[in-house]
Amino acid sequence: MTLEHIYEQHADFVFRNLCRLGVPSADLADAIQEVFLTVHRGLPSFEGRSSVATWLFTICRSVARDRRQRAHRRYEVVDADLVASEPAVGADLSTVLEQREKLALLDRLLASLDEEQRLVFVLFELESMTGSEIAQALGIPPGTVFSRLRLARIAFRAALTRHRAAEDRPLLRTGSKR
Amino acid sequence: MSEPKRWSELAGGATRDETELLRAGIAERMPSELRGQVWSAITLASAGGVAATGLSAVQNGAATAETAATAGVATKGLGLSLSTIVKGVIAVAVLGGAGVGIFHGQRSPALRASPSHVPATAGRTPSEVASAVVSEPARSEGSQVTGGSAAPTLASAGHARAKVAAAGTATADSSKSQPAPVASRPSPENTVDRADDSSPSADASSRLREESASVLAIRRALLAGNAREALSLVARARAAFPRGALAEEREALGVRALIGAGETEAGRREGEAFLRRFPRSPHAGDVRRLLGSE
Repeated sequence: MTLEHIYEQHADFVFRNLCRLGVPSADLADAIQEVFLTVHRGLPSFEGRSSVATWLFTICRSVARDRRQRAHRRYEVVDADLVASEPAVGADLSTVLEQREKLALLDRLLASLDEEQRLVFVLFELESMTGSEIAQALGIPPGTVFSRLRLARIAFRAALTRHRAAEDRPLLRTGSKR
Repeated sequence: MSEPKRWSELAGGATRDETELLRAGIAERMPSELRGQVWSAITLASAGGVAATGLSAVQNGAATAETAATAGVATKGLGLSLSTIVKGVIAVAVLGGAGVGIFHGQRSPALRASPSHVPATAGRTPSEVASAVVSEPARSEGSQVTGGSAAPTLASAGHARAKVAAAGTATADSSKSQPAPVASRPSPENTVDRADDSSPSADASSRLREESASVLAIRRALLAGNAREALSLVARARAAFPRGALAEEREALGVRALIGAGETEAGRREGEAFLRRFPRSPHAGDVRRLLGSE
């Protein structure tokens, strides 16, 4: 198993999870790099006791926490316009905006969850991990995974309800079903 | 213990809105440009990263200053740092990822979104991508591979360089100045060509960075609504990189700039010429849309 192989197979996983765990856009490239350099350092001693995805997630979790804290501490001007609204070449803009809108809302709702619940929710609902994989990734009993998932779902639904009430409009602009 | 159904599944117990939000998250992919950029940085850093400069120079920050000068030359006249380029890539990441996501989102939601099912981006392996987009973002910081949690950075390396270049001093970013032992080298297949600055590949890398910066500058001008400025940037980029690797993207943006500047006839001519010249370009669809909606 080489670093290149892991990158090829799991870069999307790392990218998604760093986004879902609240790493600011401006930090994403650095954060992904940091995750894989940690993998590179740990690869010789990785014994396969857990799956690669589980291992990667524990690293993502730590990097994301660190990045979130750093983002709070500094006063960095992020080129938010560029990050958020650069016109896409080669993609239908309205569809792209709709997708972006969904992802932005998803991240906002996730950010409102309790950290422990958010981790379980992300792994179960977005990464389709099994209860036992999640238990291993987070070092908690499988029963705890599902109790946290239940609470996370309640909190997620409540956050979405609050969002809709505040916006007083339908969640999605087009509502088209893919 | 039986697993509950997932909310992204049919009859998973979620509302339609909840399901749609989750499916958007499941479908998101890392865009290929960002993928290539980051992999380049990783391979350079994980290989020890210090190509021609040497560890001692990194320790006293001289390497950062030298790199800053290089970065300054690379972006001269455009006012862009590498971090800006990376931000641009991330912007495309978010948008492009969404586009890709739509494709993936058409899969059955019951399919597990395991990363192992994800094909290599655009059919290229990371090493191919890295070779194609060789850059030296972590060159001076790469020796930190085994040195604690502060990894070499891509975007912040750009920040550091921009700052140093602007100030004309050798002050390294404090977070980057801590030396660390060079890591064991990775296997050969993980290592991209890390030639000296004087080598042809370093020249090519530097040219590619300049060209990337020029294309991003065009995008920024368009984003800001300055179609005229974008046109002038396109002309400059065309003169500087007549056969550049990013020529298709530049020309597609040129069509957009012409139409944006109200030169619809010229835009149509350029657009049609573009489609004749690059009929299978990934930007052809965008140009067709521009011509259809001008």
